[in-house]
Amino acid sequence: MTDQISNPTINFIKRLIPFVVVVILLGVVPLSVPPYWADLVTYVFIYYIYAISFDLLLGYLGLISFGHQIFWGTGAYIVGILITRGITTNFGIVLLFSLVVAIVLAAVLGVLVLRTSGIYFSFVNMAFGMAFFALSAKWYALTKGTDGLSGFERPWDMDGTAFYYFVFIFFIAAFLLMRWITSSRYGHVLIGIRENEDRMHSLGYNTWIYKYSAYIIASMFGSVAGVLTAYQNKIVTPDDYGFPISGMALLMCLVGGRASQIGAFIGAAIVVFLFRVVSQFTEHWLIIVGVVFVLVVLFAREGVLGYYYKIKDKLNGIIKHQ
Amino acid sequence: MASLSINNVTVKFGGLAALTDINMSVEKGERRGIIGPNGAGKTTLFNVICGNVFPTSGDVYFFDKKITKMPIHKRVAYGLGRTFQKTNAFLNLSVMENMSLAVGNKKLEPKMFGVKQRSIADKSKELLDKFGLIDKADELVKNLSYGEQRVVEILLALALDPRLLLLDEPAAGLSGSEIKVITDLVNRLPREITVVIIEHDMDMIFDIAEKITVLHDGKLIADGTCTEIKCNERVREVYLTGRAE
Amino acid sequence: MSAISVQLLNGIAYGMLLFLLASGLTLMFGLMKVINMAHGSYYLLAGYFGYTIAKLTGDFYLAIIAGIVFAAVLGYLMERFLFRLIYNMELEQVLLTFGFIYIFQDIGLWLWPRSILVITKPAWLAGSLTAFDITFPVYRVALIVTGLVIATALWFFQEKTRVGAMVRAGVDDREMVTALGINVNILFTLIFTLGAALAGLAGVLGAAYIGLYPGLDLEVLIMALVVVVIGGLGSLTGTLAAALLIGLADAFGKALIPEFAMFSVYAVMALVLIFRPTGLFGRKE
Repeated sequence: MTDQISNPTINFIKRLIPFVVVVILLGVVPLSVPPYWADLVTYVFIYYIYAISFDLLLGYLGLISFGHQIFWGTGAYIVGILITRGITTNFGIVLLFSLVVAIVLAAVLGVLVLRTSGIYFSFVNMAFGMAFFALSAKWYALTKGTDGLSGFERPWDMDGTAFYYFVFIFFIAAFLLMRWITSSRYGHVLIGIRENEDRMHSLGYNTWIYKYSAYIIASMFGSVAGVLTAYQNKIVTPDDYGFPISGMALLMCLVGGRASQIGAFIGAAIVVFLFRVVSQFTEHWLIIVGVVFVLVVLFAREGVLGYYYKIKDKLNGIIKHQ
Repeated sequence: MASLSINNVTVKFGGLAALTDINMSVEKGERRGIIGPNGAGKTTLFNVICGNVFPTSGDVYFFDKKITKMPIHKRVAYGLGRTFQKTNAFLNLSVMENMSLAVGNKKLEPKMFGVKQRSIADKSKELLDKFGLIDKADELVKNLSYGEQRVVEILLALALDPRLLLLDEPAAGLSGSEIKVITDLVNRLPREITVVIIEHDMDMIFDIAEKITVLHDGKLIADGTCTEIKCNERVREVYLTGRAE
Repeated sequence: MSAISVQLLNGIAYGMLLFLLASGLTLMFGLMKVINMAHGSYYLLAGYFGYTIAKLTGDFYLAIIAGIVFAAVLGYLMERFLFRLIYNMELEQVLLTFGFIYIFQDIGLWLWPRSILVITKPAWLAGSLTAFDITFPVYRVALIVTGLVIATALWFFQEKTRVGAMVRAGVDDREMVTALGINVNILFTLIFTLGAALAGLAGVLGAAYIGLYPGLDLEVLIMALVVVVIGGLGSLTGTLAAALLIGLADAFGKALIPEFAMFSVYAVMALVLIFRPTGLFGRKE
């Protein structure tokens, strides 16, 4: 790692090439596969944006936010409510509004939720998550309960392909933005807090501010994912406040590799495709999810990326000895 | 000028008094040792100074600034650095990463991210080099020898450029030669830094400290130069008999 | 006045049910620092199993025993074969048991219908009592009594037995436990199984009170988690106090703002978080 600084240009190019390749490959997807699969990849993009926001808390701060779906759901419902009530169909306004609401919500919840840490944090988050789920199911006047809000169109009435590229842009932007945030000093401080918050205090860091700001940042990304998912499905229901949303994100981060935007993508792709394929063969996909979860936790905690680095280190070790 | 002033500090946990009416003053640049049997309240004293614990009554002054109820990170910003009895480094991170976190919090040249990261790396390497750990920069701290970990522990505090450095049993669990390394390290520290050290190893204390404060059962029972303490009857009693009362 | 008494009783009854469930969680955590997210699943599956037994035999008491045993076995298996691999790894425990929620949900959906299932109470428990001008269901009184009995038994266990002393002290260091002459493996397995059994008991008792349906596992889990957050993990007194508090908040919430009754519970939790983040009786970790 200390060598990397010696030649930044080469390192940058080393990283740029795979990035460009992947972007190109993803870019030609809608042109080369049937719409069903293109839609699925769109779904992967949307879930990815959510997963990296979840990972900001999980991978970098070591906090499992079982209530993170609050932001997904809120983003989605804002789309539903604003459009079906005739307030606006302007995407920009909808997006902006959802971000503002996410920030306010996170600012309030964050104060409460960050009074706890570790397992209490997860519990409290879970409870608030349930509160929003119940609220969305019961507040018929606002949300039409379990019927859900529907009957709205995508921005500019985009069809599958156009929508794919639309979401693709958000996907790339989210990737770059989150990567920048986490590889900066801010990201390193978050990791320090994850590793030893106590010591971080003694090193002079106001850890609360870091956690709070990360919570708010994560809420914004989560909200964007919610907005996009509403447009993709053209319907919003209480399930958008459901636990499986965070459960899936958790699985994605585990399978792909925590504290990594690349790992999250690998995880998102694997999980989405795996379960889409599995559900073609059996209705018992829940148990498959559970079993995969258990196996990954027991045997592959660091995910695909973890294995990749292990193998890479081994190879490096072998090369060094020659 | 007193770098540290502890005025009538009492610390009670429930019914238990961990510290009773402690009065202590450390001059700038001084090397002060704190000794006492286990349970005397030495670490509690450090906790009060650093902010891990607030006193039930009394005040703490740091260079004339009242810091009694100040949050930990603010005290550190004022120049307080501390090590822990049980190694409290970032075990799963590399030595370099440990240093970066400690170094990275100071106000370095406020420029773009890229430049700042480079300066952090340079400063970290400089420190590691100076204290002989540069070869282990990429090792995870948990993979270092215990002695090396104790050095990292001290470096984490030093990297903050503290005006007051509190060392809590830095020699705990170390071998004779390792203790010598740490002692040299401390003795090489510049005079701008005030050093307060808790230790059980008497040789180390007498090697480093100019004045010594003795705690017993939460109370300050003696305060003076090395020779005065060595001759102090009460201190001998407490140490020779070993147990309380 | 009678309306308030009725709500009071409802609240305490529900609180007792929550206590039974949450006490298992807190027991497991208190001794072994173990988090079991599938605890709500024990409740539901044991309830389902008890329901089936009740339907087949018509015997309510047998159903209760069946539920307890079922949950105990489930707990035993999980502890013996899985938890041993991840002791002291809090994150992994949360993740692993979270994965089990999915597995148990699938089993529930697979083996039992989705409609709300209720266990029929025996005649003597199905009626109402009238006293001091108030009429309330006998079953709720029975729940309260059961809860008190169990609470007392647990208190006795914790205060008066050697094993209980270790639970109380929160001794989770396996070496230390062994040094005190107790077989660690057996102890931990025992406690875990006991905690699961409590969940099973709650499941069957609850099945005759609030019924069984898919999704209930998460609902009761959340309630139990709120209870332990408010009461403080590891404290039996705290669990009881918090469970009663939540039960009452829920009952009065349902009476006063029926549409949004559950928010009374979350409001209580939010308040506790603001003023006492480590819970009312929380043990410092």
